[in-house]
Amino acid sequence: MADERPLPFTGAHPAFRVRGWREMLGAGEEIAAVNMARHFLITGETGSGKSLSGVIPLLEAALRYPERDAYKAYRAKAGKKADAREQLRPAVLVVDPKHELGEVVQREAAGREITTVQYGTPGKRLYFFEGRDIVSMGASDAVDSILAQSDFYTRDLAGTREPSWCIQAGNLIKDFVAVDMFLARQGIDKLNAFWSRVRTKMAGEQEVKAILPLLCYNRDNYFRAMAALVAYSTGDDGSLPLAAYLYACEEINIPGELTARLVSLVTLYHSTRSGLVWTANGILCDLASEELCSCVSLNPMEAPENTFSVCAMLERGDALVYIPTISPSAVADTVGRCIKAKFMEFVFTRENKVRPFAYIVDEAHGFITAGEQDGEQSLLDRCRAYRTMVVLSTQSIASLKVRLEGSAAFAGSALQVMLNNCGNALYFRSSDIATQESVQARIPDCPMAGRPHVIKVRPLTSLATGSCYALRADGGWGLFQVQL
Amino acid sequence: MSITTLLDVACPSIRLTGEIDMPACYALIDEMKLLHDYYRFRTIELQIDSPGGSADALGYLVLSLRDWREGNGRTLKTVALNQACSAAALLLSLGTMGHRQASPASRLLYHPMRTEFSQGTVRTGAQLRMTSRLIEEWDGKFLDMLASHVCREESERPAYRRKLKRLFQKERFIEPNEAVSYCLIDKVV
Repeated sequence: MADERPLPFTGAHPAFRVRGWREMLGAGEEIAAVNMARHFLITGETGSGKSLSGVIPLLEAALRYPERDAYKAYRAKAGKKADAREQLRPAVLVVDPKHELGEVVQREAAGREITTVQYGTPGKRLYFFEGRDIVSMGASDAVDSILAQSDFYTRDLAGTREPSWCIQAGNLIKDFVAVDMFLARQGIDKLNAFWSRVRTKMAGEQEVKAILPLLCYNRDNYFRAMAALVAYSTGDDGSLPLAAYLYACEEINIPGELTARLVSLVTLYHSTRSGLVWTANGILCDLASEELCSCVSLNPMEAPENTFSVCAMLERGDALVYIPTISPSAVADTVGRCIKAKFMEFVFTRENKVRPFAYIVDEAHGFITAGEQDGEQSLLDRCRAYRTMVVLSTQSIASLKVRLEGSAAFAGSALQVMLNNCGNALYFRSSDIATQESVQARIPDCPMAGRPHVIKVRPLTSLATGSCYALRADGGWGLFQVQL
Repeated sequence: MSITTLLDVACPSIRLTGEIDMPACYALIDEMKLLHDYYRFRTIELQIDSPGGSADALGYLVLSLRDWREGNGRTLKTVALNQACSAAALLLSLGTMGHRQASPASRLLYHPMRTEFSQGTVRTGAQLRMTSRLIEEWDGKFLDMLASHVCREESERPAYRRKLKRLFQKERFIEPNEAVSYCLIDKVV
């Protein structure tokens, strides 16, 4: 069992220095580490200066932490109990859809190893089962973990009034994976031989000729064979590929309980079977897509080559820059979920919790989720005790709402949890009513009775570029101009 | 005395009319504090239409508005609307340098400090001397304040102070343009 005891920042830890925030923070431009770990929400329309004046200074502050003079003062005070300076250098996960932050990470790397993952571009990949005991892991566990990240599955589950279809489709995938894992534990050769047998069974059939080359164990794109098999299993004739697959299972004596649900699928009435198959197909298409596989490996049996280790990144204080696609995509969301889920898992369970972790998301309305494992709301409310600081930058609160509404049934609460947990907030120019209402709720009323609220007098729409309402975790607030 | 505030997105304006006495002074300070601390304005326009008032009130006011006078990240624009006499004229001239204005139709009156005795009161010679000393002190204080406010160079201040003193002693209404020539305001609008 991993040790999840937290190790929060204390008041003695060196402060973060955010350059350009003099007006907001005073001459020292410093934010106490404990307040930095109370997270930042930055909103503002395009051109309002939120990236240049908000996100980039915070990213630089995280990358430069701890600064020499601040660390010296801390060291002098804390003596032998002080954390080593190298240990306090944060590991960083940056989500950079606009290609603006990667450059800053390169510039301020300070010896960090930087890994860049660009959606759809082959390169180093995340191994989704890193840190998991894949030898003893069950197929059900493995598939449940994967499905929790699948955008298709989670949206379908959240949006449908009949979740049993989605759950049954997930169960079919569990059977496929269970068979593979059963064979892989006897040796990957066995698994290869099995798929070869499946191909042989279908070799004479013209209608499935196109998928034959795909029906093999693929270490790099694990779900490709399953996706192909399922996609062709909707016909009236008893679903040839699926039937051939089950014959092959029978021939090599795969235990019946592993394939029970696949067997019952073949016996279902055609339209019922088609419904289930198409749901499974939707999930598998995403999981087997090249875009996903170029960034994440979901192979529950062995890690492919060319992966990076999230655990090692957090341990060494390295940086990962993830460049998602700007246009919405279910597969891109799945990649994002996987990366986040993995970082969050290790943030809480890593052995050495001294090193801080900074998670900085630009254009968060295109990236955040509300899942149990990967949702920002589940991270924000407890990660501050694990020396984690989160910066969420977005166009508006309304856009966050829209994003979450599409992905979770409890979107409203998830958004509220996120907002509540961002103790620090910067509101740049925006015409969003929801943002305006949020600012109004968070800034106290005018102390003089009968006078209007400041936001009514100086609305967000009136702010100049680089000017923002700032709410600080220590209760202070103001209207500031960032001086770069 | 009356204080009216117009809240504008870019720059709020406070209109000060009537006599400047201590209640007016407190009300003005509270208003400016509210505009700065709550509404976060760094620039405030103070429109003045006043026959003048008490030296105590003016003394307290200019001391409280030090950050505004000195322009420490703040700007106090002063504007004479109709008349700005005596304490009101000094308040006008102690706005942030470069932001002191008067309307062309306005009348400005600068004069030395005066005191008013209630009818029928009696004073001893010592009391009169004390009053006289107090008046001279106030005069000196306001002239010094104006000189140091207007002249950046310390060396220029004595000459400017003498020039002002002569003007004050004439006790006459001056046109806004003449006030510009004395550097008592910056422009006529």
